[in-house]
Amino acid sequence: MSTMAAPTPATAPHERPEVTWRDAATPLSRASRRRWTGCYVVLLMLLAAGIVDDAFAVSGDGDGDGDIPLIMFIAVPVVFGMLRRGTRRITALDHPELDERDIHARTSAYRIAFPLLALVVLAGLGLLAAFGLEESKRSTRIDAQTTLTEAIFVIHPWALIGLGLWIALWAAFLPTGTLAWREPDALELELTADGGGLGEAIRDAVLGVALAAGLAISLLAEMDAAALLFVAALALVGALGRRAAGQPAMSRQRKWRVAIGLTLLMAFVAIAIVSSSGGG
Amino acid sequence: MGRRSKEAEKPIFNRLPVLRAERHLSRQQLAEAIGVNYQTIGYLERGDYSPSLDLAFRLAEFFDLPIEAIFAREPFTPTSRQTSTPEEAQ
Repeated sequence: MSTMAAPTPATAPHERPEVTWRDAATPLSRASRRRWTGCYVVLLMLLAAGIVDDAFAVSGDGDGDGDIPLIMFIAVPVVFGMLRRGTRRITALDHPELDERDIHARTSAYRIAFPLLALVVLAGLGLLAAFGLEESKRSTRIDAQTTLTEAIFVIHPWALIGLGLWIALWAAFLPTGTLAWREPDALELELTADGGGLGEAIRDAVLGVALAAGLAISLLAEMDAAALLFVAALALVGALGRRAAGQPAMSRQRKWRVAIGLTLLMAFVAIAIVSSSGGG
Repeated sequence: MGRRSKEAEKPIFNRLPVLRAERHLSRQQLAEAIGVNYQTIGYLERGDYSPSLDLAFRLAEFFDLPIEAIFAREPFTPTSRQTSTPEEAQ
């Protein structure tokens, strides 16, 4: 270790052979990661609202059968994946490439995430008491004569399942979210700062507006097809990222995959339209 | 008196960018020689992370310099304003 390293010319440390949409959408700066951490928290809050109240769910007809909008099933894993990539998978347990700084950062994140999770569990129990109980009264037709002691033990099972899934999402997110909030700017940001590609602020704005618009249309107009807005914005960001890296917007293999995916998607939309028009 | 908070700790300055440039080393090369992630070298250079004693010793051994020639509590004087090398000053 005490020997001097040979003075060889510096080489580019991380030449990426191919920029994917995931690379283009990865938040590298702390500011961007904090924006998406906040976005994910809002998504989870909306998810909770969709679970406990039909007003925030598609097809909310008041009978307790409201569905979570499709865009939520796309946005939640995508935003989580962005944060996960933005923290360079430090949260991966027993990763062989973790050094002392990574391990310290990860340990600190878990230490902070644990009390936050306790708060989420308490909030979840509060939601269950506030909404799950009311739901159970409706579904089991508990009348006014039923005492609170009798009613409180009758909780609607979907409220419990929804609460369990919601807390599981928080448990998976909080260490990553804490890391994303605390980690300094990634070095890749310095390498790509003069690349002439889409800036992080603009990219976040494009994705954020598409996500917000898709959510609003899904909730207000009850159109699951609005999820395509967010998917299209992701594709646009990916294509611009590849172009900035001097690569073709899409390789031949990727064109085929995208074509197959779009065909399946269009078939899905067509079937949904036909079945809904036939049913009503 | 309780423990000082992380924010109250004095920053640690270093000469890693200069030493690395003098030896024509990339962050990746230095990181591989020291056994850390290349991002950690960047965070050290930017002052975003203060190394453990073990890592500081590894860097000192690698550059064949005393630790205080690499890390200091006060900012290093720019080379252009130095009239003598640290060895001569001692």
